[in-house]
Amino acid sequence: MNTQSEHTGVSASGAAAVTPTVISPAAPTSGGGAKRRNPLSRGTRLLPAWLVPFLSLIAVTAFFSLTAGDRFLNTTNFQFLLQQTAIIAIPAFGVTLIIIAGSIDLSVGSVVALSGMVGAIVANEHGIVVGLAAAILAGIAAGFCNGVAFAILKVPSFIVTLGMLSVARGISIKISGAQPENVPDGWLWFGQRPGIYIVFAICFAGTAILLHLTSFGRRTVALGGQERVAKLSGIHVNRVKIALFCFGGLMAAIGGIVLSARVGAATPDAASGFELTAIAAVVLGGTPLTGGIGNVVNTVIGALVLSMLLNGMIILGVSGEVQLITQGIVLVGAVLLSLDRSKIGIIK
Amino acid sequence: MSQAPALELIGVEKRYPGTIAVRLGEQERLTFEYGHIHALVGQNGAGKSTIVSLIAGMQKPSAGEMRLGGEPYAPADVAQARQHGVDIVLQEPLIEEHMSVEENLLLGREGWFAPAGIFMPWTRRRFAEAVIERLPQRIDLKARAGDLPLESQKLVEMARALASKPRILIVDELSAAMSAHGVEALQETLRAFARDGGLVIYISHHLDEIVGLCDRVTVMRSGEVVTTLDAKSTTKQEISSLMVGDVVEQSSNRTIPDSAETVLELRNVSVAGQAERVSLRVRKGEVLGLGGLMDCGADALAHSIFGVTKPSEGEILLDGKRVRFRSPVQAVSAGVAYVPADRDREGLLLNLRIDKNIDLVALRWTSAFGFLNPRRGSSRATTLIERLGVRCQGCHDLPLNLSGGNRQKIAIAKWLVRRNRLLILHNPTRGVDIGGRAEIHRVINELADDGVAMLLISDDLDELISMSDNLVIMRRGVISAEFSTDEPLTEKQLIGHMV
Repeated sequence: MNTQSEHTGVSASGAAAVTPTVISPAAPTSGGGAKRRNPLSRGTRLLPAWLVPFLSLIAVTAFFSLTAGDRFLNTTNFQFLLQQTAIIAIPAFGVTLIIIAGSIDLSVGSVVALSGMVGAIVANEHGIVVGLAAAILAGIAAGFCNGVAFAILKVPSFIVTLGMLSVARGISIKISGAQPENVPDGWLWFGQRPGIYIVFAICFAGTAILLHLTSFGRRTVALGGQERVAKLSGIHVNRVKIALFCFGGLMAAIGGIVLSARVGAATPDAASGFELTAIAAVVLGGTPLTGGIGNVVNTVIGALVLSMLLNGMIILGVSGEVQLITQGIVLVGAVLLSLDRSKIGIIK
Repeated sequence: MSQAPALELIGVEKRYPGTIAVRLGEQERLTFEYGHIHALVGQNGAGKSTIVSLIAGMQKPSAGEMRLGGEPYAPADVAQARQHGVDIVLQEPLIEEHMSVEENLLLGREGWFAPAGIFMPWTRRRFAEAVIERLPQRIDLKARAGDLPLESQKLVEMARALASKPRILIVDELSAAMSAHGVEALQETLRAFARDGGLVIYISHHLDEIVGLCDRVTVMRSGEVVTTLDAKSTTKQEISSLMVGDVVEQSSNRTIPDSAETVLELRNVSVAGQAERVSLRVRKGEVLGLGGLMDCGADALAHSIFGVTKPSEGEILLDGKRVRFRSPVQAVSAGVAYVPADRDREGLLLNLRIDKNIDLVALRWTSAFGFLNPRRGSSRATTLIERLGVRCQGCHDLPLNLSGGNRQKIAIAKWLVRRNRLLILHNPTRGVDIGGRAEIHRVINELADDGVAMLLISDDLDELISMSDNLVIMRRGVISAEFSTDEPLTEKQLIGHMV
């Protein structure tokens, strides 16, 4: 126990030691000196914000490489890490876009469970292809309900998705009779190499293209930047919002398929509390909850940091409760480092 | 006079990324004396509000020093300035609308009547009554502040400021939208304050008012102090020519033929509670100026044309066909463009690259099956940046780093990716420096020559007179006068129809 708490202590101070080096390039700007010399300088101020996720990734990797050595640094463990990352990142991609648009999705965990369950049940009856379609439909339907309640009925997304968190979980318990549902053999492809990697890559590329190279992506960014501007620029704000939550549902469904395939069964209580993991991955990746900014690569990094943290602590034999505490501290610490407070008037 | 002046600014500068808002020479002094009502005048963006925000501790100067009664004075925030006896009443109402007048009066002064954080309602009532007694007008303490007319809200703010017995009171643009009666009550309060030995620093656009009310006038232009005059021995003409300087205003010399087709026509359009039975017509290549005080209804009218709000009655015709836009989406499709007054919150996204901002409106037309070509977007943006003369580091720059005038150009540029039939501009040069203003006016003239119909809503009378081909003045939701700018017009003529 003693050695364990020592480890976390080192980890915390390690993160703190990074702080001055990250912040220092920006410090003169706020002091006014640098601003005077080059009033249009842009890079210097934003540098620390987008460096933090990469630095925390390096810090976490370095820390566990030093403390756990070969037990952490081996190909089998990295395979495991990557698969764990995929499971966190795929649903988090949907959450990323929703957060960039300035909203939030708390229903991800439940929708992951629901679509996994629907997929497994249907796949056992009608075959894998129909099962997959059913899982995806279930996810999109949940997202669509979220989107409509949010955009048309004007209920804040926090509340809407909090409701869906409960509803989707309830439905998956109901249809499963509170029993786990085994998945057919073919389904397992999605949870093993190379299937899980292929799905991960497609989801990553798809989301990145959607965000950066389509008009939908631009509208998403505009919506999060300032909804009023988007509206007065002639953007169908409601359509974008509904489409966004449908996309979130789709990504949660794919996450549900992958998770149930990896476990070998869909369980009604799968991915419970996962919505917070997904949001943590997005935030650790440096995407602010205020919207208007963010990208997909960062979410992958956030997910990697999270899964490394968990994996490394398990290898080190850190007890569950200490894992939770560390996870929380790292999350808050990362935001603490990356948030540019000079630009934000009020923090709620 | 051997005594140190009440307040002195020495070599003060305030810079923002891309602009210098206030710039005093290294040893240049701006002094204020007790017992005076000291006016600060200048065009929009001249630096008046920035100067008072420095004095009131809302911002810190980038260079230079301030002295209060000879002592160095560098307030870290508003609270510290207040401890030094400096208080400010801002242009924007600082009233908690859902609170009562009584609560508003003592907002932030809870320490007076609730020393341990707990208070008895009657104690607070007694304090509030003592505070409000100073006002020339009775205001019900129990009224909800949001229900009061604007001038009473201002009086409440003024009483709140006076309650802490300041020695220097800054008043920023109080009378912009106020009835004559309300203005009088305010002025009386200010005079009494100065008679008792206080210093009032007063910002106003109403030169008539200044000549009658103030003791001294400091004229500012593009962040610099032009001069300080004795208000009693100057004239309105002298002040206004000092304010403008010798910049030649571009003016339109277009003639719109009677045969020019009508692009926009309003027939008896009303917007519930804000505009009533307004009819007007804008022809191809014409700039129609629309002026009036803040709540004259021009804004509501623009919103109804652009599909933000629905008119409660009347017809809007575009190219002779009746249109009923349910949202801006449809208005944009029909070729209507709208550059809102609040460019930072409605016009553009400050944290989004310039080219992406510019692309926002035309996404539907520039994308193929929803896919964009970022390189082509950048080259479109670069062309527009050059055409409008935007000073920036390129189309990847953030609007956040630009000055007001350049931001405004971006907010206009995003509508120029496609050709528009009608462009509605609301205060296109508010807070823009004189150079930027001339450039924006050049763009407006070019667009008009190109055949774009424009509706120019502006608080700036010079701008209305010089840029419009025809002028409509509104007062409390109805059209009060119409002018053709063929004959020379004066600001005074227009103001007469506004208030």
